[in-house]
Amino acid sequence: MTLELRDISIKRAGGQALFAPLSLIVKGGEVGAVMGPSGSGKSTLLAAIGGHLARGFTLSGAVLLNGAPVTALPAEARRIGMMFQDALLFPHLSVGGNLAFGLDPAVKGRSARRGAVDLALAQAGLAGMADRDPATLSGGERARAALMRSLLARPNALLLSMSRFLNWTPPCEQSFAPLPLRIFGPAAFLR
Amino acid sequence: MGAAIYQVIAPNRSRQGPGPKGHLRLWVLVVVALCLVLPIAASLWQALRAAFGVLPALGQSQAGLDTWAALFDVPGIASALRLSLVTGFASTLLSLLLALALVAMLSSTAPAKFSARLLAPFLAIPHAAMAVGLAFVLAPSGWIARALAPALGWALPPDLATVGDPYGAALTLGLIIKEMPFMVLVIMTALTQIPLAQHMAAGQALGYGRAEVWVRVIVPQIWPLIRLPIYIVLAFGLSVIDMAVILGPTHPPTLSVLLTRLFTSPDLAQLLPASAGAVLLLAMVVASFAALYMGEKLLARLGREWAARGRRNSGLNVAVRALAGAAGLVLILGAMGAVALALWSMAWRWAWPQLLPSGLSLQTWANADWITPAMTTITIALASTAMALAFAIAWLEGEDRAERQGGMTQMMIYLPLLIPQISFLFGMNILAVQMGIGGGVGAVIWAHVLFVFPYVMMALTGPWRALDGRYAQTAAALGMGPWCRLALVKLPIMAAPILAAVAIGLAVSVAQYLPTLFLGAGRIATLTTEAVTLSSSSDRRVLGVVASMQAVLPLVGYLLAFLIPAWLHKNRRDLQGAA
Repeated sequence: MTLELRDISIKRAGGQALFAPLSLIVKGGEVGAVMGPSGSGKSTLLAAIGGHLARGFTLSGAVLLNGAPVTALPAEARRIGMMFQDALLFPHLSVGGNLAFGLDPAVKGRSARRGAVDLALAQAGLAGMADRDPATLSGGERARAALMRSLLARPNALLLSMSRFLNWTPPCEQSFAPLPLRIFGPAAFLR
Repeated sequence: MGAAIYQVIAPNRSRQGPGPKGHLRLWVLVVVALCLVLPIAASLWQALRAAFGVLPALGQSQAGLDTWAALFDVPGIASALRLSLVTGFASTLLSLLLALALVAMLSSTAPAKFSARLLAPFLAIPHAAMAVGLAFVLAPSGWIARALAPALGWALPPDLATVGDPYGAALTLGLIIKEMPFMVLVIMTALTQIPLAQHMAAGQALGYGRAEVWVRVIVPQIWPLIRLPIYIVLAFGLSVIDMAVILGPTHPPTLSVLLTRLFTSPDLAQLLPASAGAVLLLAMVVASFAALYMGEKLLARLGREWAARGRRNSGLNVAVRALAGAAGLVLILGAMGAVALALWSMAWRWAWPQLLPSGLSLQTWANADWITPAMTTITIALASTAMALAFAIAWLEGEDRAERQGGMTQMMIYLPLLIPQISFLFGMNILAVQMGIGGGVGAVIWAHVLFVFPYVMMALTGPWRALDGRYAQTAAALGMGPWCRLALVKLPIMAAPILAAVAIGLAVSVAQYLPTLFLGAGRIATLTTEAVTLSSSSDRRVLGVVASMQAVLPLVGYLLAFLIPAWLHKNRRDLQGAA
């Protein structure tokens, strides 16, 4: 699984390109990083890769996953996970409900899904927090829950738009093994 | 120098003490309780006593259950009750569904400002005028039948009850045309309170389509913010009168129309069963609230389980598109109704089955007696809106000064919108008669304030609380007292939202039917009472004139609310687009 950016450039309506055309290849298991000063368009680049580009911006160039262009696909069909600056747990669902919302629908049956969610919570050091209100979690706990929510959706690539994640490694690297995951952090932005 | 320092410090000092900062709030609470809540409570007490046979004005003082027996002997009472429930629930739930679908579509394609402007006319046109316009479109001799006539070979208007049908379908449609735009506005306002774009992106990044994120993530979050308006729409749909008179069936009519007939019957003995009916209607509304609340809890529970199952492709997108399309059709029907009103008011000759009148003329405008009711309407609207606005500003400023807001006291503002009008307006009329203002314009204005005030509050509360508190603090630091800060800083900055609230208040007042009818003792004629009275007559031109005028007044208000701030703030970029 490879994520490739080919000559990506983003223009604001009637304006100039935000940055010089950008190309980047991130192979499976690798973490790529894009760095730049504040306001240079890192978040906009991330949004473009994930398919969340706001109205008024136009994207040229191609985003390819394993050689196949995904630029024309809507965000939900790209299988590109996204971690936002804020964790953005849905406030109407419990912590476990948030993870279950992300969990791949191929995992069927109430107990199997609950098991997968509990396992993911344990891996993230959040064991037993499934029924908690997301608002009662600390900032770090919220970020980890949001990361697990993204991973449970089995994305082909994962975009991290915050540096905080670089400070955290799962308690046990192999613990992701049961889930057929390829984790990229192709765009973990540093300031 | 010393004086200058004193002036800078003084306001801060006065804000810390227990002194006068809570006084305004207390005053407002007392005045609102005395003028609005107490009369409603007293009126409900009147209705309740009369429902059990005690009505001293008629010499009835023996409590008993005879009135209820009399009520259940009224022909068609059971069908009337069922009809009210069906039209009330159908119109509320359909308006909500269509509005949610429409916003789901609009929020991804059109800027919010565009949507708000598109909706303004639908919000402004009063229920009665919209009902008349819709009747012109739907009636057997209306536009739709005329369009079909050549193809189907109808030489005469078909013999179908397309308006006033026994199922209340025309009434339900009319209610949806008015309530759906209101729900859209409420939903769009609620959306500004949550990080919509981020949650949409987060949901899509997990593989959900827009419609699916909308239903699973966005709707549950805005629900608490739109709950009160939904209950208001339900209470309104269950107890509406003017629209039900114009579009609803007549034999039997809805419960509230049936009760209006009893209340206004020349046979005064009917007041007793009418009061029992008013209590019954109130009980029905309370039971409906309970049913809606339980349905809401059940749906939330099922929704959470559904969300946890994680299915991505459920065909919701198709459903949302279809519903949004239906919502568009509803808006088109409403627009056709508004155009039909104007055309009929100027039609010279409009024979079946022509699609357009064969000539236009202002003859009907010149002959029909619309100026007197129009002046009465304007007077009542201006007076009640001015009072409601004063209450609202005092309420919000009182909150600022007391440094607390909301709470349970806020519910008493919305009480008049949650209780069926007919359940307390007759009792309120008795109260007005006892106070010596019965049947006068003053009593009518008082009753209008009851309904204008909550809508003005709804329009003003959000923008007022969003006002940056540091403006007032800066003014205080410059030595301005609380009244100066209000008059010179807050009100000018809030000019656009205040004018928008005024426009809404005027529209609400212009649309009132029952308060005018009951508190005016049937002697005060506004455009609304005239439109409802004329709706059963056969002269569509005169009806077109009165209903058009009723629609034009609020539209002018909305237009001014849009133009005045644009002109006032033409060189003030930060204040543009505030409304």
